[in-house]
Amino acid sequence: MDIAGDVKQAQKGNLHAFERLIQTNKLIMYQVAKTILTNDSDCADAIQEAILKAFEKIKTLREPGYFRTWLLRIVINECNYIHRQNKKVIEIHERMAPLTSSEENGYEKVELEQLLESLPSEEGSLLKLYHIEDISIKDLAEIYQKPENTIKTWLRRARENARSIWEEQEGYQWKSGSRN
Amino acid sequence: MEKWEQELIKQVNTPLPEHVDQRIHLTLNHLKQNHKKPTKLRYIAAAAAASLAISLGLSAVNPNFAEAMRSLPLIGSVFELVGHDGLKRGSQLRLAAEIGQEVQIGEQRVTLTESLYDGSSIHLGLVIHPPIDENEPTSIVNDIVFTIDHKRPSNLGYGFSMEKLKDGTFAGTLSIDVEERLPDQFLLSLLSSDETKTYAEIPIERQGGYQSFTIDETRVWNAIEVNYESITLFPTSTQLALLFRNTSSPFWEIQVSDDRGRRLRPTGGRGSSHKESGSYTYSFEPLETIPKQLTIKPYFSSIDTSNKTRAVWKGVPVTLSQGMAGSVTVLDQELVNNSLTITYEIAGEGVFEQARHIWLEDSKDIPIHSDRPPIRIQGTDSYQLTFSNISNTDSISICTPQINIHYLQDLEVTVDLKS
Repeated sequence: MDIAGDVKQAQKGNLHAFERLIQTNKLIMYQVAKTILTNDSDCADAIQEAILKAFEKIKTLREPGYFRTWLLRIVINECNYIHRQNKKVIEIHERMAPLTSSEENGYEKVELEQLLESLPSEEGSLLKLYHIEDISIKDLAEIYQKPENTIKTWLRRARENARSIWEEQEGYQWKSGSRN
Repeated sequence: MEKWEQELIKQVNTPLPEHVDQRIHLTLNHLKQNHKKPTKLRYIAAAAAASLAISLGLSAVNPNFAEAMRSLPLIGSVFELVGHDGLKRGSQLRLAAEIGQEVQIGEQRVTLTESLYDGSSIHLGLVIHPPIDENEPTSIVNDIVFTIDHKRPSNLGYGFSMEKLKDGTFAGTLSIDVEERLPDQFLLSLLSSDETKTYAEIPIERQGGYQSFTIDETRVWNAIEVNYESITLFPTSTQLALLFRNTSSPFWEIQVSDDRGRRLRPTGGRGSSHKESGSYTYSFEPLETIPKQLTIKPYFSSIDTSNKTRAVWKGVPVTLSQGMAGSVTVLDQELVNNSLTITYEIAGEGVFEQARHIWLEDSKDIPIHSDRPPIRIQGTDSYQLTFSNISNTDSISICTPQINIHYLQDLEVTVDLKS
């Protein structure tokens, strides 16, 4: 697929070219949205807004090669906006919802949720993005607008923190006897 | 790799859920009909429908109007030249009022030719003179602020339909929608974006009658509540007003058909939402007579371009399957001055959706898309779609995807109009 060609066409107002760009990137848009928002309906709202904004602003994109990370930055901004809007509702909902039992969801999933909640939110987000198959350190550097070495340093720190929290959780689970 | 990382990889690399995919598809579809999305009020512009016939002039001609119109490279009404079916009808019913005013908007010279307001949208006819940014002939509107009786409406949306004429001039219609109810007479002003300069002041008066039918029926699907409020028959459009709850946007399309099974062509929509509720008005082509019943069916459609059907034109009609939605029969193709026009007839569930999804492919399977919407041949389910920059038709295939229509039957409602 000729991404640069489609970006140039889309910048001239060609909707079919823009549609091809979105179709190519729709999965990663969703996966990135899902790192910030838990609810799929919110993800759909964020992606919808991101598509509309991307179409409005695509003329401002100077380098067609950066389309994907530029688009993902728009998705992240929309998700952060929705996350902020929903924050109060989510807090109430979380208090009212029954606690999820580890038997229903698997130990690893629950432990991972606890691990990510224990990390500073920016480290949790970075780790989630980094583990999406189609996102490289170079992509992260473009998304965060930082040098690749800075991203590597952030990742190393986040992984060390994650490892130590995980080990603490493992030890706790073992001691409390809830783990086989 | 550590266990938590393996779990994280599993968690973040999830497939795209179907309903999110459908929202993406619907957004792209809506975008195809949109030229601008204002902050709150979403407005879907009417699809462009050009007419080859230029008929009927305006009924009364004043000297300024005549002078302005003399400078134009067209004869007759812009509404009838480039307007959608409703505007053509409104113009033919002589509901349009002349403007004939030439204005300078930034670097661009524009002639405002006519206006039409029948209680639904405010329509303006205009001609944009060269030199013009051909990639974005509608960009002039970015520098315009609209006021009604000298006040800025709280929510305003607009859409364009634009055609390029032979001499490089663009003729178009600008349709403006405001959320609040408008008086029968008002002054529409076009100001510069900093509001220091007045480009034009246009007295508008509502013309023609309309008939409104209360529906007040509520339907529920997946906890989403839809209250159909009313359907109003204007001379230029049929408008369905509804309220929705428990969803942030009305992400479905709506099919309206009469008791004889004739489907109304959708021409746009507008609405606003706040958190998990909102209101929306869907516009369709006008009805010439009042039917006994109208059936309203919300639906999703999914387009599978990877599973396409294709055919090469060999001088006889050929039918291509469009999946569950129906089929398209190619009736003719004509190559004139490097423009290839395909004439085709649609049969099936999603006529208007089906008509839009036609493209060409060359001998290397490179897709060639049209840069304009299909034009319906009035009174039929046949359309014409033109592709530019085609030098010859050797090895050119006509392609269409598989289209699946998913009706939301729980949201369906039938309205008696003659009871």
